[in-house]
Amino acid sequence: MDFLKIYTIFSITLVLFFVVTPIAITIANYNPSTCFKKALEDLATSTALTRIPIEIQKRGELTVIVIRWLDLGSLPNSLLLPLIVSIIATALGLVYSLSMYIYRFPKIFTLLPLLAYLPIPFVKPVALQIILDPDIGFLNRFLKIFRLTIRVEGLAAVVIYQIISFSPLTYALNLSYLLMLPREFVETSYSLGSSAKSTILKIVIPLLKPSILTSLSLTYILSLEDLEAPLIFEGYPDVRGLLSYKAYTYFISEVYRGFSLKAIGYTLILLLITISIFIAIAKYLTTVYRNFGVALVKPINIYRYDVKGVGIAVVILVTMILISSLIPTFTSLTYIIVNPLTLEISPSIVYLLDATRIKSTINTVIYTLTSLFLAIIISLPIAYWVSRRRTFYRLVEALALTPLPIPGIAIAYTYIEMFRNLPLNPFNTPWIYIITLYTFRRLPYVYIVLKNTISSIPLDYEEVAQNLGASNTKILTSIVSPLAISTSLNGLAIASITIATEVSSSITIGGLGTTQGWNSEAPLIYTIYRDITVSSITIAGVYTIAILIAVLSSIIISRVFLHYISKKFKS
Amino acid sequence: MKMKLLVLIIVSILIVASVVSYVIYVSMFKEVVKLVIASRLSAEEAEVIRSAFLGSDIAKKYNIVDVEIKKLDFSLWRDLGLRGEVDLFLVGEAAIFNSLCEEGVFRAMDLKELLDVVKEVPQNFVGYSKDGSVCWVGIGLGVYGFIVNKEFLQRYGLDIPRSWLDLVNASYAKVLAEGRYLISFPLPSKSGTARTTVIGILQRYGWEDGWRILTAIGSLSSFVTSSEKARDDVAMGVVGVAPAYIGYGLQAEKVSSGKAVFITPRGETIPYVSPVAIAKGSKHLVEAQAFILWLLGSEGQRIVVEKFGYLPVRNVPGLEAMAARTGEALENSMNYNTGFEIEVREAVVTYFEASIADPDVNKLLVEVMKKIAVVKPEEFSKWVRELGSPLTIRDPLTGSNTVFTYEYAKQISVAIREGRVSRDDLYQRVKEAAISRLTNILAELSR
Repeated sequence: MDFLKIYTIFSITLVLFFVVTPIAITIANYNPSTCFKKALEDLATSTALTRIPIEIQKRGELTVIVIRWLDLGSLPNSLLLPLIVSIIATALGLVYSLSMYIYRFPKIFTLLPLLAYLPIPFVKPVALQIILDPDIGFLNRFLKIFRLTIRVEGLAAVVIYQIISFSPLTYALNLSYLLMLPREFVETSYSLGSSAKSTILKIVIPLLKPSILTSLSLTYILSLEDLEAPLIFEGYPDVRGLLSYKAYTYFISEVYRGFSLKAIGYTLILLLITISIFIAIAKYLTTVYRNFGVALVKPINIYRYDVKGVGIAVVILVTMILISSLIPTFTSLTYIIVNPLTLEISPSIVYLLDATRIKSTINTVIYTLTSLFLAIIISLPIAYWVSRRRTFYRLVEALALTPLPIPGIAIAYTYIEMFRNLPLNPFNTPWIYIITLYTFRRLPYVYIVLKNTISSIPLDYEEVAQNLGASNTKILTSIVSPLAISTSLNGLAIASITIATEVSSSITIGGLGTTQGWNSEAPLIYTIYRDITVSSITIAGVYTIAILIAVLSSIIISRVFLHYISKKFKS
Repeated sequence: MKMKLLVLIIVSILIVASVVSYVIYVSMFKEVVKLVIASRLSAEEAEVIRSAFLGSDIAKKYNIVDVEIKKLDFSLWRDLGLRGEVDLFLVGEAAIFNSLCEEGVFRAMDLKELLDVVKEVPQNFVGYSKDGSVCWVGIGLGVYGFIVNKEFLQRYGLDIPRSWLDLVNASYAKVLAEGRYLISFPLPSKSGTARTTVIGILQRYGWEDGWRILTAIGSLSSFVTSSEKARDDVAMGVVGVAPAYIGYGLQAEKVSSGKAVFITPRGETIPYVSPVAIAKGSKHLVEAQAFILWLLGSEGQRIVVEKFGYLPVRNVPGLEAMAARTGEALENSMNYNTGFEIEVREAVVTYFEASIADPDVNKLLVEVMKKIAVVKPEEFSKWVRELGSPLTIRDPLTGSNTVFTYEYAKQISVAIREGRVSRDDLYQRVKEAAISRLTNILAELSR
């Protein structure tokens, strides 16, 4: 058996052991049909209130615009909300990416929405809450001058948060895909005298089908599984009816032992939905992800139209919406200097220099780098196998992508249950499990990047090496890996952002070990989760800075190290 | 040759030096100890205890170099204690400590120095096992009450409530018409504060009236997953009321610059002992007891008084005056029975969450409250009575219809603990009954 085969089998075994087996054992232990039945029983008793989504009320001299979700009951709400979010977020991202691609705009307009792509879990939704609160929110304090108030209730607030969070992602996906298209399409259309409108409608949009479908599906899954916004806006009953919230809150309790069967049932429903969507888009996903991230660095080199007429208005509107996604980030940053609610000077530096916060920031950098490198080591042979060998390659790829649709909460609690009796268990060495979960939960992102890069490496290199007598091992380590890694640095940087900001494992296993002082083993996301609920918004600015430090450090260190490694292997 | 000899000499010297150093180290220094504590303390509170203890003489005397205080769900305590993953349990409800003591999760205290101090602690603040040994000891006496935000209440023209019962009043329901909630209430399955408050109201007003009051309170509430979130909501002015223990009340007063005030409700204030106990599997029995000794000493007592707002459990000069607020609070206190809590905890928590806090039920409950407060205020009491009387449910044990009485709650709690009934089944039966009742009331009100 050659080295590649052994290496690939080893990687697949790891995926099977750390992802597939735990979930399969849990499902088997808890009798899936009973779990489903209990969840469905609960859903069958869900209630819906007939109400108008937008209502204008008078309160004395004040005009109140109430924005709320058309309540249809727990399951329809959980399925429809992601659909609305994914359609609007994709439409916004698409219009903006097309505008940037077709019309002449300064580079800053291309980059601005990408800044909002940086996830700052728990901080951004709290900031949004502070902005929108009917009484104490900034927006309404300002509007009250004009005797006007906007009240955004429950699920409507979740929708707004998710749209402004996900539209930068759909923009990046579509723009990156556009930049992969041959420039001749647009340039020929231009030279043949087509208008911008007909170029977009007749040429570009049909070519964008894979990225549009991927944007729709990915944002649907992200919205369906989102826990951040539901946890912040949990005070409203319609928010507490979301499947992801129910699965999380009922999984474990202070009063009873063991897991709730109903919560496992919800998790299984989520799993079924995400797997179905995932199977439907799998072939587009890998193609679209190929160049994901190039929008950050690559200039738009095609000949572009001058923006005029209605186009200007559309672009301004969409730009404003996309830039609004930066407002929660900027609000969080404001808290570094001053509390915008009370105008008191914030003692941020004192907070930032706290031992726990420094250590958890360092922990996140260490966990992210370790997980990224482990994910690269595990993904490499799988990516190579799928790109070059035709035996069982679909099955191998499906296994590599398995972690993507599995809800993080389900796998994290399964780890606690499964490994709790080992000498090195999640309670005494949580860092082992955090790194393992980060590695395997984010493995698909690393795999997709590497697989696409390996597919684009001409086979000639390997054939020449083979003719010169190089072994498979030599080809993989000295030719394919260095090339794949050195040309995937942007994609791997994005993968490291998703690792550093992973929520589910961080807030479950992240809090099982030492969480205080210099000995803290908790990742930054756990500390944010704990403090944002405990000390609330006053430290939001500190955490915005901390997460930026953690993410940027991880990206820089990993780039330098990977660059060095790939050079070393090449030589 | 010379080179080889030189290397040999250096290696020999290193080996001898290492052995000598080790012998000196072992003879002069004791083994360093790290204590691991499972707790319900928030991060800030845990850090205060940890840093103060590590700087103490007792920590130095017993060579305790670190203390790790983890906030862990009660459901994990049993396993961790028996397996020796933690050394101590700190802070929580006495009823939970009594249950764990009965299950043999704690190790009896036997350090003479500590037992002498425990003798000075009022005996109702000490938990004994069946064989008479000390299972747990209280470190302080706190109270549960609620926090109000004066600015929020003023904005809606509402009086400051002086008891939970005061909130059962149509005037408080007017915030609902504005799309707001009056109260931020944690889920009892996630928060000891909420659980104790719910059980306290049932004890104070009796089973039937207790549930009516709780249902009315629930109709004004937004439900959250932690008492910290409830505290922050009321401190910020997002809601007007939130249940809390005195320590969180004092914190809210501080961060809100006086807009939030901790209230000790008339006749409903629940005094509680905050216990500490040693885990059965602890490998550091002496050191764990030394930690307890420190908590009961003057420094430990000063910290629990200053930082948590507790009353000291021992006579330490000067501390009584600092704990004056808690002292006053106790004048409003009720006689809280932990035995009652142990008997019905599982049933009460499940019933509360299924008949009041469940999102599908809560939507209807709020709609009903909006209608009875606005449409027929003069009949408010009658409607509250109808709304909150214990439900008739389909018993998951027998399948027959049964009223959710105190006796039934005791039986079904035992069944849940023994695994004969799943909490999900009881939850579902209660939810179905609650939705049916609320739908009927809504239809009646709409006629």
